[in-house]
Amino acid sequence: MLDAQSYFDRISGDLSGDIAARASALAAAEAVGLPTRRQEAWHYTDVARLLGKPTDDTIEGVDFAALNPLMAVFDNGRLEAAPNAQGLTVSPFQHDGATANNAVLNYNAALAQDGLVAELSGALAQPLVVTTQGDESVHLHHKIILAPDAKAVLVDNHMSQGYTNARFDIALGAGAELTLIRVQQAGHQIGTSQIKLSENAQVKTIALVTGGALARHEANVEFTARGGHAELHSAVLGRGENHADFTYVIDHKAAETTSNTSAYNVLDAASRGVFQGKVIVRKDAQHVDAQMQTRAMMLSEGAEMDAKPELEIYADDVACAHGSAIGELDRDALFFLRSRGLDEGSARYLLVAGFIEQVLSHIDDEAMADTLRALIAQKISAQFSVEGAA
Amino acid sequence: MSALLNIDNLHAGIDGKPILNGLSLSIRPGEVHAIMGPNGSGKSTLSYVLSGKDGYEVSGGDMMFEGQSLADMAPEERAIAGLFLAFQYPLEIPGVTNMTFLKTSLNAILRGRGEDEMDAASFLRLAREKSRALGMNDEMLKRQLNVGFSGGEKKRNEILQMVMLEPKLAILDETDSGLDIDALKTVAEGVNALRAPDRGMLVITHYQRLLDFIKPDVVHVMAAGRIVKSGGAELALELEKSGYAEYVGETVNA
Amino acid sequence: MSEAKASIDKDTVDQVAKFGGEHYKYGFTTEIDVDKIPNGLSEDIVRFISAKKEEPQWLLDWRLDAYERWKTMDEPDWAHVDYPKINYQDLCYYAAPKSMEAGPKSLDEVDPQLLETYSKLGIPLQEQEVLAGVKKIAVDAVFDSVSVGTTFREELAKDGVIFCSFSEAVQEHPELVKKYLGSVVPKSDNYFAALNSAVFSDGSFCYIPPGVKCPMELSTYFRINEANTGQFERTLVIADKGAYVSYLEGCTAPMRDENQLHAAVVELVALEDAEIKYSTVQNWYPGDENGKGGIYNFVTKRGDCREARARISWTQVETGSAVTWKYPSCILRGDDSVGEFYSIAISNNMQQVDSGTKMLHLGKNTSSRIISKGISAGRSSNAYRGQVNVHPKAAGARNFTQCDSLLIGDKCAAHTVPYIEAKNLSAVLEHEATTSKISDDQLFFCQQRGLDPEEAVALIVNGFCRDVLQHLPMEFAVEAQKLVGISLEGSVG
Repeated sequence: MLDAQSYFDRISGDLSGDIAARASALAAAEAVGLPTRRQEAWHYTDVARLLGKPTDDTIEGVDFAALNPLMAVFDNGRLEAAPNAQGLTVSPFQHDGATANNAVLNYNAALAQDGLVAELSGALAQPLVVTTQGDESVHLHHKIILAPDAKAVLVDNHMSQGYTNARFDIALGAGAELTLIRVQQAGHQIGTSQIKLSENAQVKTIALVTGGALARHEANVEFTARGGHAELHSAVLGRGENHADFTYVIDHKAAETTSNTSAYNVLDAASRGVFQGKVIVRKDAQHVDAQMQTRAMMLSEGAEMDAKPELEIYADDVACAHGSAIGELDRDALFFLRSRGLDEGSARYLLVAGFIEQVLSHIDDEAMADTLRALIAQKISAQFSVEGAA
Repeated sequence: MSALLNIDNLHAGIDGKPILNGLSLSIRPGEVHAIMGPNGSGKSTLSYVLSGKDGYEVSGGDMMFEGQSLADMAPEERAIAGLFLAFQYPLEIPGVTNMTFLKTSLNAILRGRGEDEMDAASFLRLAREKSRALGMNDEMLKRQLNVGFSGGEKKRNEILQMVMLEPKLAILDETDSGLDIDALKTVAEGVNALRAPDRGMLVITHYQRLLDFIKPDVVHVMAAGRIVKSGGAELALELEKSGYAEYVGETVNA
Repeated sequence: MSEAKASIDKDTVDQVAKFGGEHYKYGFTTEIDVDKIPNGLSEDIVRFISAKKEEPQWLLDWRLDAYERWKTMDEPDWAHVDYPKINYQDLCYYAAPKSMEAGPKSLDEVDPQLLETYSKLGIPLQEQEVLAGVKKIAVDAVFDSVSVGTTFREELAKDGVIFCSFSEAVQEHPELVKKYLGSVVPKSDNYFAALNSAVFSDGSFCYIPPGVKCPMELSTYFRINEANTGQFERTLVIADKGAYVSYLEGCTAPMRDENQLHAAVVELVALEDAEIKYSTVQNWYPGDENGKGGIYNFVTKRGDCREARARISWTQVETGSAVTWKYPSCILRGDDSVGEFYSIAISNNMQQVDSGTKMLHLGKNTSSRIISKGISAGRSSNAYRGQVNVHPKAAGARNFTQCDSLLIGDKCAAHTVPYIEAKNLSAVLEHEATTSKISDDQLFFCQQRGLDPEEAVALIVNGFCRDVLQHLPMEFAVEAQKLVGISLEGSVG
C-alpha cells in the first residue's frame, strides 16, 4: 500500500475501466498522500503510524450462515460468486474513474479492483452478507441502490487481515429502509460510506469493531428530501493497541429529517476510541431533530478516548443535542452485582455486555442480534479476561 | 440457639473518618430486628460494612455470620453465604435485562453453594410466580435493570431479588423511603412472607411507619455509630412520639 | 404550526429586526490631541514602543524575539469566522493622549477631558466619591495605548497588593514582571499573542501577596478612542499562596465605519490555595446592522493553576465586537486545582463569535466546569469551541460541560465544537449540548401575561443565561442583565 504507484503499475493490467482516469485519480491522491493529523478530520488518527502497526487480533467466524443469507464473498479483492435472489439485481463492477476531493477516495478510484453493484427492490427476505477476506491490500467500491420502498438488511462482514480501502455508495429511494450491519475484527481498514436518503427513507447502521490496528469508519449521510431518518450506532471493544475511529457527517439538507447517533466504546489496554460526529442543519431545514450520544468505559491505564461531537446549525426551529460521558466501570454497579453473588469477573462481564447491548438492541431482527451477541460474548470473554456469565 | 449475626464492638469508617464507633448487635435465626436512628447516625454505613462495599475500612471489632468472620470475605462470598442487602438506592444497569440479571445472580449463588444451577424453564416459572406475587407484571422482567423504573418499582424489584435468592439474613436499608402506602404494604407483604424460623432480618429505617407492617422483635436506636438503646416493638412507638432529640443530644456530648 | 403561532413568531423577528445597531450608547468619540506614530509594523516600531516606555534591555529583546517569531507564523483560519484579510502594515501600533506625555503624578493632574470620558462611560475614577453601601472598586483605566490612571493604589498597598499599569510595573517591580510575563501565554503561543508580545503598549498589573484577600474588586477598563489604531494591552494577575482576588474587565469603543483590531493577552497565575475570579463584560462596538465597522476582538486569555488547590474562574459576557476569537482557558497543573468557565455570548446583526475555553488537566484530582450559553440573532454566527483534555498522569480528573445555543430568527447560525480527550482511566467527563429556539409557547405565555415581545424575549434570554449571570459579581450582574436585553434589541423575535 505504501508504494501506491508501483502497486498500480503491477495490477493495472487487471483493472477495469478507463486506466487513464484511474492514473489521474492516483496522481491526485499521490499529490497529497494519505491523510495526516494536520487535517482536522484526521486529528486523532495517524494513518501512517497505524498502518505500520501489525495486527494480532483473531478473527472468529460469525455464524451468519444460520440466518440463511445471500452471500457475496470478496476474497483478496475479488467477488467469488454473485448472489442471486428475487428483487436483487447484481451488475458487473464498472469503474467510473471519477476523481474525488480527498486522497482516500482517490486511491480508491485509482485502485478499486471490484465491488458489489446491486440494486434492490421490494422487501429482500434474506440478509445480504458481504464478506471481505484475505490478507492482501484491497480497494473495493460497492454501489448499492434501494428502489423506492425497498427493504433490506446488508452486512459488511470484514474478515480481512490486510489493508482495506472500502467505499460504499448507498442510495435509498423514497420510503426505502436499509439496515447496514458492519463488523470489523482485525486488520487495517479505511472505510468511507456515502449514504443518500430520499423522501421518507430510513437507514440504520450498526457497527461493531472488536479489533484492528486501524478501523476508520467514515460515514457521510445526506438527506436530500424531507422525512428521512438515519440512525448510526457503533460499539467498540478495544484491546491491545486497537484504534477505532468513527467519523460522521450528517447533513440535514431537508426539513423534517431526523437522526440519532450513539457510540459506545469499551477501551482496554492501550486501545483508543475516536468519535467525531458533525450534525449540519442547513438553512430552511426546519423541524430537524438530531441527537448524538458518546459513551466510553475506560478499563485500563493507557486507554484513550477522544470525542468531538459537533453541531453546525443554520435553521432555528430545530431540536439538536449531543451528550458525552467518559468514565471508568461503575464501581457502585460492580458492588451491587457482587452483593447479588456474582464474582468480580462475572460482574465486569455483565456490565461490559450490558454496555454493548445498548447498541445491539437497535437490531430489529432478533436472530441477527443473537448472532452478533454471540460474537460479542466471545470477544468480551477472550479480550477482557472475564468469565462469561449466564 | 447460637446467633446468626453477631457484631461485637465494631469500629469502621470511610476515608479515614470513623462512622461506626463500637457497635454491638446480635441477631438470632427467626428474629426481626429494626434499627432506627437520625440521619448520619451510621445506619447505611452498617449495611455497607456488613455486605462488604469497597472503601469502608474496619478498624476494630468482629462481624460473625454463622460463626464465620465476614471481614475478609468478598461481597459475593457474603451473598453466597446467605447475606442479602436491599439497597436504599438500587442501581440502574443499562443493557442488562432484569431477567438476565436475576438468572445470573441466582445461578451464581446456587453454584457457590455447590447446588445445581436452575434451567431456563424452571427459572422463568419461578421468576414469574414470585414477581406476580409482588404485583409486578411480566414486562418488568424484560426491562433493563431498574432503568426507567419508578422509585416504588425499584424497591419492589429489590424485594423480588430477595425472594428469589432466599437469604439467611436480609438487611433492608430504608426500603420504605419513597414508597406510597400501597407500595409499602406490598413490599411488607413480600418481606413478611419470607419470615421463617431459620431466617433473620435487619430492617433499617428512619420512620416507624414501616414497622406497622413488619413487626420487629427487637428495636435498636442508633446514634453516633453505636446502639444506644434497645427494646421491644414499643420502643419504635415511643420514638415516633418523642423523636431522636435525646439521642442526638447524647451523641453530641459523647 | 398554527397560524396564531406563526404570526407571533414573525412579529418577534420583525420587532427584533427593527432595532438595528442603534442602541450602542458608548459610541461617542473623545476629541483630544494625540501622540500617534505612523502606521506600519517593523523592528523599528517595536524598538520605538519599548523606548517610549523606557524599558530594560531584556524586555526589548523579548519583544524583538516575539516579533521575529510572529513574522514566521500564519493567521489562524480554523475558527468559524470570516473577515477580510487584515493588512498589518496599515495599522497604528501606538497612540496616546498628548497630555499623558507630561506624566501626571496622580489622577488630579490628568486631563479633565479624559476623566470626563470615563465619567460618561459610568466608570468611577474619583476615589472619594464612593457612596455608602456601594462596594469600592479599584480601576485601571486604559485609553488607547496607555494607562490614564489607577485608583486606590495607596489603599491597596497597605495590604501589600500591587495594582498599577503594566508600564509602571515594568519600572517598579521588574523582578515580578520578568518572572511571570509570558509564563502562561508564551510569546509565540499563537499568531495574535505573538503580535501582542511584540507591540503591547500598556495594560494592568496586579500582585496579591501570600494570604491576602484583596480588600476590594479590581478592574481594568479598556477604551479604544483613536481611529485606525489597534489596541494591544497586556494584563498580568498573580495571586500568591492563599491569596484571593476578584477582577473585572470592561471594554468599549466609538462607532466607526472601519474595523479596528484589539489583540490583548491576559495571563493569570494562581499559586497554592490561591483563587482568582476574572469577569469580563465585553462591549466593544459591534458594527452596524449591515456589518460595517466594529472591533476585531482577537484575545488570548489563560490562567495557570500552578500549584495545589489553586482555583481560577473565568466569567464572560460577550455582547460586542464584530468578530470575536477568544478562549479563556485554564491549565490545571496543581493537584486538586479547579478551573471554571462561565460564558454568555450574544451575537446579533452581522456579528461573528468563535469563543469557548480549554481545560487542560495535568495535576491529580483536578476538576473543571464549563457552562456556555450562546445566543444568535439577526444574521450572526455564534460558535462555542472548547477543549477538555485529561493528561495520562491526571488521575481523578473531573469535568462537567454544558453548552446551550439559542437561535432567534432563521437567518443566524449556531455551532458547537467540543474536543473531549481522555487519556486517563479514572477521568470522568460529562458533556451536554443543546440547540433550540425560544418556543412560541413561551413567548405567547409571556405576552398573555402582559409583556411586549421584546420584554418577553429579554426575560426568556435572561432565564436562559441565569446559570452564568449568577457567577458575576453583583454590581456586574445587574449591568450584564441589562446588556443582554440591549444587545438583543431588534433581534428579539
